[in-house]
Amino acid sequence: MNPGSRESAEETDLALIARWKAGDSRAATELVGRHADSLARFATSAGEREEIEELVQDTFVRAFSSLDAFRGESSLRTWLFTIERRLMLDRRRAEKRQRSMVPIEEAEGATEYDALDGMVAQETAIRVRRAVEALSPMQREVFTMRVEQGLSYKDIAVILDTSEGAARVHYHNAMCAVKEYLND
Amino acid sequence: MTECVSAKMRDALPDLIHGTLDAGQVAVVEAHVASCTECAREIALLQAVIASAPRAPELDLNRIVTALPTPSGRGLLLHKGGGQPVGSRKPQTIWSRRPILRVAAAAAIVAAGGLSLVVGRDALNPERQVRPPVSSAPASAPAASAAATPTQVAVSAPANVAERVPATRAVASTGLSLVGGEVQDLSDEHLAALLKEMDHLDPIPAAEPEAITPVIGETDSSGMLQ
Repeated sequence: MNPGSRESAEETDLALIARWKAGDSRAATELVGRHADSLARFATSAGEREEIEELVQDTFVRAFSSLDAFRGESSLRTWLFTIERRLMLDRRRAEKRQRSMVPIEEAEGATEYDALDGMVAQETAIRVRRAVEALSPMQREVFTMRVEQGLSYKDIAVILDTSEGAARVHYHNAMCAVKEYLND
Repeated sequence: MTECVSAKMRDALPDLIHGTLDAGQVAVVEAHVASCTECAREIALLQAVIASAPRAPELDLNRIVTALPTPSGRGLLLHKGGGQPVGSRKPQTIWSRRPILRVAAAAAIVAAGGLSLVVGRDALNPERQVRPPVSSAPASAPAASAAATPTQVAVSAPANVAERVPATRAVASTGLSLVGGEVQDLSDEHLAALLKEMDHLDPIPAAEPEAITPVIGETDSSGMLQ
């Protein structure tokens, strides 16, 4: 890990937060531009398919409404992910249905690819995605946070309200399960 | 395939892909991957997982920024509007789903308040006292009441009060006017009529109230609108 670069990024986030608190609304624009896409990817990886922009917006609104509660113990991005994940859980509870990962449409693109390598790549992507979807919810969350978002075990532990050790174990179990699925 | 014995190296593979390692760590991990078949395969797998991830939609950042609270510069947050998070929104009620009902309810409250004000004012104004005929005058009624016409009963009130309160009148849809006096002054017949009328009152209007068109009409000798 590169703690130096991350720390400087955190300082910049904290500086932007301080500017925003001082009345500089442009600081909010910078913060949104910096983290919005990550939040959208995070929501998508978690299985959200609808109203992702609204979810990201709600995450920022809630975060900016309670910035006084942000103590800087984790990075702003980790804090935003934590808020977004809670919103997703609230949304799912409210809808009273388990939002499953949207199955990949096998027909999508496959018939449009003329090149053989393109078809192979598409089929590989489908198999890999199915392997990820076959994980338990906790394993899938940890795995996608680690692999797709590049979060550290420490950040994952904060977001999931668990320990770093538990996050590490979930990740390695998930990796073994994915490999096993693909080798079958 | 041999099992990689370096858990530390395997742990660092996602960080290598995401570029969160410093230069020294990158050199160490890349050297390991070059000599470890399993880690090289795992790198390929991680890249395939990333490539297979569903694409996030394009975001309208301006819309998001517009919804954010406005900094006050003193730590006090003011919403620009529309910025309440979905997760914190209260469950929608029929009132919030149908704003017209709120308008109708507010109109009903205002109408009821206005009617009570009219009744209260008339109660203090001896010039405007209109009371339904009573079958028997109560023993405590003042002598002036007995001398009044059946439909107009004067209630003694201080002259200065009568001067302060402007003359108003109340008109009930059934022709009954509840003004001044005590409830026990009403006959059983009129009490029953009033109760029946109240039973028909709906606390929540069923539809949007119609526009009120003011009508200026003549008044009769008792001050009632024709």
